[in-house]
Amino acid sequence: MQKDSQSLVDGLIKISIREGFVSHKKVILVTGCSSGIGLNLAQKLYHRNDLRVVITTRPESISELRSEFQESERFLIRELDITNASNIYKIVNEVCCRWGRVDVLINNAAICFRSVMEHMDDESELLQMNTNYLGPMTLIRSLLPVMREQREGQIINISSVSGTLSMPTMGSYSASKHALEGATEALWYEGRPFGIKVHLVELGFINSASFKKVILTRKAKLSTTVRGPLSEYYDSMIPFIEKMMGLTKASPGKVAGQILQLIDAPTHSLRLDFTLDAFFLSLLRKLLPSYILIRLIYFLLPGSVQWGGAWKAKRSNEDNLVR
Amino acid sequence: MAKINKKNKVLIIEDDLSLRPFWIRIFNNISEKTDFEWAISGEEALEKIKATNFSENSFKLIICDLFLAGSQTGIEILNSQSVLNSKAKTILVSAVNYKDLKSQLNKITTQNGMRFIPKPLKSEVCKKIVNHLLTA
Repeated sequence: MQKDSQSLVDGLIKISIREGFVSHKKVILVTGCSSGIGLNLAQKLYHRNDLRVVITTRPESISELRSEFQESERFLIRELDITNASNIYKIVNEVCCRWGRVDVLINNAAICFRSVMEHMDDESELLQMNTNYLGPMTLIRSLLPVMREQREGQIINISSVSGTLSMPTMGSYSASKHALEGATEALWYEGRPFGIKVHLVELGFINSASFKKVILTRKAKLSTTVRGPLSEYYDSMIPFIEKMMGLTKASPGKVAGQILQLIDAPTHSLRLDFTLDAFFLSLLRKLLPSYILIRLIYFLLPGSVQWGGAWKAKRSNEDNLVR
Repeated sequence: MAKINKKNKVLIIEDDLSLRPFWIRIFNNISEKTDFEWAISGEEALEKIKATNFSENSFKLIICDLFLAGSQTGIEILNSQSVLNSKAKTILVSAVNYKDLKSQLNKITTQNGMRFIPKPLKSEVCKKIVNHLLTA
């Protein structure tokens, strides 16, 4: 069924492009525009009359976007549940039939579970992967034939330092970003001969309330409430991350501006560090071997000496847990 | 005709399988004859409870840990319709401090009364509470 919808979309795209619906204004599709970088990007793109734009958000947030922006010939607002393949095909089909092309795809929609691995569950893992990796990949796959046919295109995947470096309580989020990074890197090679530029925007901490919107699994929520097992990880990581977000000068507006510059002056660079901490961490990764880096981070993270509590393994025999 | 099991049936919902020998010892040493089943996740436990609810073979006692494999917590299991509809008495076990847990325990609306046993489990305490609930 999905295969059929995909071939239908492919067919429509080719017809639209060959029949000359080709616009000279770039067509930009952005996901996850309800808040943060997506919203800031939407605000900047709204005033760019030289571009055609489709901003998308999940159904729950569409009314907020409709009240902030006025739809026009060149500015569309659409509902998009990134975890729903038919919803993705519908949007791609509509945009391609209307404007005949898509020049830039910005995969910005993402969610972040804050939970130690033991407190994750299958449902949450799937939602995390569907939103941050599988959904964006479906969108990319449905736009690749369009971009290949155009012999040009730009795919900007908003990633994170978590895509190359994992932190406690962010394992599932890191896994989804690692997956996105891996696939995007492969895509860089596959897109290049067809003029498709592929980028990974590497972000570190962002000073924004929307970045504090993390999801705790049921077990993580309970553990933080009743000071249950592994709650010491949340006790140290949650305030640490919030503090770092407050200290950084990187804002969603600033990052949105950098993305706009990338659209205006595309490069062939795969990884782009858009925040200072992302640049610094990527430099550390290059300079230090992994076995030193992870030990260094372990000891630098606040409260790490408390992790494990009474269950901490004895140093002499790490396999035997003691109460 | 299915054979009716006259032994007390107990369900233990616990993802720490190293506690299995402990509970076997407890049930071997109490006066009531007992059969027990084990589930490591809430999902698995609810299937077992649903399958036996309203039958002669239903669970008389459910012992549930707070943090389990799967997506549900012990509080959610003990508050589920399947448990509330059953005649089973319930015990929640946890390493969490009772004071910290109290606000959460108030959310449990079980009709049959719920007991709390702190971890690390003490053999005498468990034996006494289990025996009391099975004979009451």
